[in-house]
This record gives sequence, structure tokens and C-alpha cells, in this order.
Amino acid sequence: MSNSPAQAGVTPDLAVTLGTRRPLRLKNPVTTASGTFGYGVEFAPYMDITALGALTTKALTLEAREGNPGRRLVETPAGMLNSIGLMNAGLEHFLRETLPQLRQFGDLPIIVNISGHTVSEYATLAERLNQEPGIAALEVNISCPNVENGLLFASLPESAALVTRAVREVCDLPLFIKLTPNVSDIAPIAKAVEEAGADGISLINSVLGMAIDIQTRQAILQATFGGLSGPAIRPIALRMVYQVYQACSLPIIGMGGITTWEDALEFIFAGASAVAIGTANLVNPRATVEVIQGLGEYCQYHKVACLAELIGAAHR
Amino acid sequence: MQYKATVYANDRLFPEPIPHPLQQLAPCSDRGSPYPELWRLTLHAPELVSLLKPGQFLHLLTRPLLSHDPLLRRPISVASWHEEHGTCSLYYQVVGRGTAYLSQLQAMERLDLLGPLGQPYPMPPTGQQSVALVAGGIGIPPLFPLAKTLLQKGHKVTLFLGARTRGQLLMLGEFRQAGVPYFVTTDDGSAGRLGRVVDDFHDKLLHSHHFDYIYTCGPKGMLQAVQTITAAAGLSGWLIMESHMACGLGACLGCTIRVQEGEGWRYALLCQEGVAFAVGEVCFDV
Ligand SMILES: Cc1cc2nc3c(=O)[nH]c(=O)nc-3n(C[C@H](O)[C@H](O)[C@H](O)COP(=O)(O)OP(=O)(O)OC[C@H]3O[C@@H](n4cnc5c(N)ncnc54)[C@H](O)[C@@H]3O)c2cc1C
Ligand SMILES: Cc1cc2nc3c(=O)[nH]c(=O)nc-3n(C[C@H](O)[C@H](O)[C@H](O)COP(=O)(O)O)c2cc1C
Ligand code: FES
Repeated sequence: MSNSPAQAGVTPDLAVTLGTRRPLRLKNPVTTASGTFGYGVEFAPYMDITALGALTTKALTLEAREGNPGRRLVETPAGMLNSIGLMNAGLEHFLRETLPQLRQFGDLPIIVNISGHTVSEYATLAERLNQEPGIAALEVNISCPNVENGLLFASLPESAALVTRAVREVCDLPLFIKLTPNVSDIAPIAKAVEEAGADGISLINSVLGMAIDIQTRQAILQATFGGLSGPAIRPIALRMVYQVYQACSLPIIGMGGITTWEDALEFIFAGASAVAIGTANLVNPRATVEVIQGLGEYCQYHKVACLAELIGAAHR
Repeated sequence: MQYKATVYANDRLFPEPIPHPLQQLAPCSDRGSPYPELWRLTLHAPELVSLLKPGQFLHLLTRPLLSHDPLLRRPISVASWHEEHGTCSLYYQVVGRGTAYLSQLQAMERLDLLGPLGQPYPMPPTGQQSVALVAGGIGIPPLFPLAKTLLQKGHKVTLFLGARTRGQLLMLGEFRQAGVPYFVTTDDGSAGRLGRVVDDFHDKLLHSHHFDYIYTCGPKGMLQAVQTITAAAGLSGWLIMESHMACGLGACLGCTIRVQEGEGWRYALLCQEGVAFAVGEVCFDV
């Protein structure tokens, strides 16, 4: 980080605490965006996993999901479309194989991202995970179609609140509800999940998009649409973090295109208490640690004693 | 066929873990176009080169420093390397923005590399003496390190190589120098036999040659044809596959190909289990 020369002085405190009732304390504000960091082991050759503020895992569903057929990735300008389809080995496999592996990272807080087709599927997952040691928080991905009506749970305040309440009832872990940007107004949805008992909000999930092959004249992804992520969506994500910070008082894990420490700072100023690095990991496996280092150097250079002081600075 | 939930990113199904890959900035020590429409790039990356095994690929960042675009890395197979010099060479075709960027690199410009990635090619079991390599177009170079290793291990190697036209028969000189006998096919008949390399291989397999084992690399249609022919002949071997990738590390789950397993099927991650898949294993329906 040659453009943020570190100065001699005390080491700044990068720690943040998310929420008050069920506080989630992180030694720095950087976690990984679900689905872009595997279960951590994939990145061990390139970086010290335990340097992360937290590790957020790939979507977990009750049953194993094979994921989507056909082509799953398309590169787009400064971004990519994916249609992975929540490929994962299911709850039992996660508890048996993955969680013990994750516990090897010691004190590193593990945030487990869960998904479901029905409200009761979410509740079953949350109830089961609630009994397991070594989980710091749940991130509830509600950007999934509800099989009962085909709409995303995250697309209406009522259905978002319904999932939040069902999970809240069975689970004492800090709950971060992950919202989709594919809505006309994010504020009422954020308020609804706050009232339903969420401890925090994660946003944004990927932006719905598509690409067409001009030779075949057909959608490139077999699923037709895919989730756009990467630098291309950063301004949208930043705007939504800013709006949610204004709309409710829950702590925010901000994400969407964050690639550098400068990007991360923008989200913190917009109101994020923590940030998640997603697509950037897929390009630069050291992206997270470089962001952490850059944040530290920024604080040192600007004589910020506690990074937490900077949260929401753009609103003051 | 039934889907089988077996393989996920954090399961290690293969016997040997991939040796720890590296990320490094490597200056390109030679760049140029020894063949029409095909390019060669030589990179100086001693630590990375010391880890290379036949079959592995590098993941290249094909954009200027601090730029976001093009976003993703490009996977390119390693065609040859020189341990003492610490260099490795790649051959590539310019098909889009990433490869166009590579073709415009200046000498000594540095490239962000990740690798070596992917499993090394599995070797033939003992007793499988006569090995056929069937390669088409840009699929020729990845088989060169394999041919050398097979020869060192005492196998008899026969190469079938095909290209659109004479000028695109990559690395012919290198194969000759290494002592690999070959049969040439071109689409336009400008060198060797006129037609498809698969047909030439099929003819020789049926009428004049005995092979115990095969490896093949090239366009999808060719791999599919070779799989059909070799499976019918009861031969074992490996198809060297491609798929669209993001991370190359087993994290994004984007590079799946469908493979048979027992009575069912599963999605395999090309970057973790591949890039070689066993003959008869690959479902070419997607
Ligand atoms: C394991 C592996 C080894 C490869 N080895 C070689 C090699 O030695 N020489 C060579 O010329 N090519 C090789 N390829 C193909 C090479 O990766 C693509 O031609 C290259 O990524 C195209 O990038 P582009 O920006 O020029 O094209 P664009 O079409 O602009 O690329 C857009 C996106 O599609 C991806 N893409 C395009 N074509 C392919 C393809 N055939 N396979 C996978 N992804 C693709 C790109 O990576 C990029 O993400 C290999 C591919 C794989 C998977
Ligand atoms: C390959 C890929 C897989 C993803 N998988 C999941 C997932 O399983 N669950 C989830 O909630 N979000 C998933 N996401 C969304 C990311 O967690 C993140 O919200 C989004 O990509 C925006 O951040 P980014 O631009 O930094 O990637 C995935 C994104 C990508 C690119
Ligand atoms: S899992 Fe990301 S490219 Fe293979």
C-alpha cells in the first residue's frame, strides 16, 4: 500500500462490535462474502485465514444441492454473472465434515450463511446450527425464491419479516439478514427485518442480470439470468448501504464490488460496521488481507485511534 | 441417472493434494508470434516453475495494474519449462480481450500469475506401454510436457496432431527433437493427411497400431469423438477438458463439468479434479 505511508505511532484499533443485544465482536471489520471464499482452506496457501475479522461460508441448505446445469459464469464489464445455484453438500455433511474443519481456525468467528425454499427450512437450519459450538452468527440469505409463491423472500417486507421471525424464535445466535438489491425500495424491508428481531443486515446480494450470445441468439447462462457481482455493482451497493443506515439502526455488513481498502472505507463511511469481500477473492486471493492492511495504514496515517469511529461518517 | 451428492469444494477426493501454488509477478522474457495467429509467451518465475508438473495451468491477470477490467484471470496451460532458467512458455490464441492484452505485452512487462493450478496428469499404470496422444490446434502444447515425461518413464509415445492449416501445427519441431513419432492431419490438406485428426487416429487404431492408453486435448467435439472411439475399443486414458473459470481455486464452484459416477452423476470442479478426466467419465450434454 505505497499510497498510504504508515507513520510511527500507536497501532490503531480496527475492532468493531456489531449489535448490542447479541454483540458480534470482530478484531477487524473484514469478512468474506458468502460463496466467494469456499470454506477458507482453498485460500490457505495465499494468506493467513486467521487474519480475517470473520469468515462467512458458502450457502448452506438443509438437503444437498447439485447446483445449476450448464455454464455458470460469464464475465461482464468490470463484473461477472454467476448462476451457481447454491451448490452445497447439505446440513449433515456440513456438521460432520466442514464445521470441524472451520473450528481449526481457532478464534476466527465463523458466520454461517443459510438458505431455504420455505420458512420452515430456514427455521430447521437455524435451530440445528444454534446447538453447535463454534458458530459466531448466522447470515440468513433471503434472496431465494419462496417455493410457495415464487417470489424472493427478500422482495417484500412481509415475507422478509416472516423468515426473520421464524429464525429468531429458534435461534439465539446473532442474526444477519442478507438483503437483495433487486427491489424498488430497500428501506421498508430493512425496517421490517429490524422489527422482526434481526441483529444486523448484510447487503447487497448480487444484482440480477443477463448476457446473450450473439451467435446463438440465446442467453449464455442456462438459467437465463444470473447474479452480477464485482466492481460494476459497487455504486449500487454503496447507495443501498447508505439508505439502510438511514432507515434503521441495525449494524450493517456492507458488500458489493469491494476490491481495495479504499472501496471498504467508502462502505464504512456510508454506514457499514463491517465489510465483506466477494468477487475480489476470486481474482486476488489476498484481497481480504490487503484490505485489512490498508485500513490499518489509513487509520495510522490519519491518526484515527479506533476505526469504529468512522462508521457512518458520510451521514455526519 | 441420479444426481449424487459427493463432491464439494472442500472435499479432497484425489490422492495427492496440489502442491501449494504461488501468486507472483513475473516478467515476460520473450513474447512473440512464431506461428500465424498463435502466440507464445515466456515468463520468468523460478519459484513457480520449480513446482510445475505436466498438465498444470497458470491463471493470468490480463489487465494493467490497478485496473478492474477485464475482471477475471485467464487459464492457460504450460507448454514447456526450463528449471535452470526459471522460465516457462505458454502458447495461446487471441480470442478476446484477455488474450489480446497478452499479445500486446512489452518485453519485461510483469504479469500477475497464480499457479501451478490443477492436478498433474495421472500417469499410465505399469504395463500400459504404448501411449497415443491425440491433439488438435491449441490443444497440442499442453501435451508436450506429458510426452517428454512419458518417454523418460520408458513408454512408447505416438502423437496424432491436427490443425486447420500447416502454419498452425504447434511445437512440431519440439516434438521431433524430443523423439516423438507423429502423424499430421490438417483441415486444408496443406500438411500431412487431409481431414480430421480423430479419423486418422481411429484408422490407425483399427488397422495398424496397438495402443494401451490415450491422452487427448483439443476442441470439445474432438474430445467427445475420441471418448466414443476409445471407450468402444476398451482403451483407458484421459480427456483434457476446459470450462469457464473464475477463481481456479475451488472456491466459486463455477467451473463444473458433469461426470458419471457409478449409476449416477455428479458435478466435478474442473480446476480441482481436472483438468484431465477419465475416458468414459465425461457427460458431454452441456
Ligand atoms: C485449463 C485451461 C487451459 C487452457 N489452456 C489454453 C492454452 O494453453 N492456450 C490457449 O490459447 N487457450 C487456453 N485455454 C483457453 C483460454 O483460457 C481462453 O481462450 C481465454 O480465457 C480467453 O480469454 P479472452 O479474454 O481472450 O476471451 P473472451 O472470450 O473475451 O473471454 C471472456 C471470458 O470467457 C472465458 N473463456 C473464453 N474462452 C474460454 C475457453 N475456451 N475456456 C475457458 N474459458 C474461456 C475467459 O477466461 C473469460 O473469463 C485454456 C482454458 C482452460 C480452462
Ligand atoms: C460465485 C458466487 C457465489 C455466491 N454464492 C452466494 C451464496 O451462496 N449465498 C449468498 O448469500 N450469496 C452468494 N453470493 C453473493 C455474494 O456473497 C455477494 O453478496 C455479492 O457477490 C456481492 O459482493 P461482491 O461484488 O463483492 O462479490 C455469491 C457470489 C458469487 C460471485
Ligand atoms: S471453483 Fe472457481 S474456477 Fe473452479
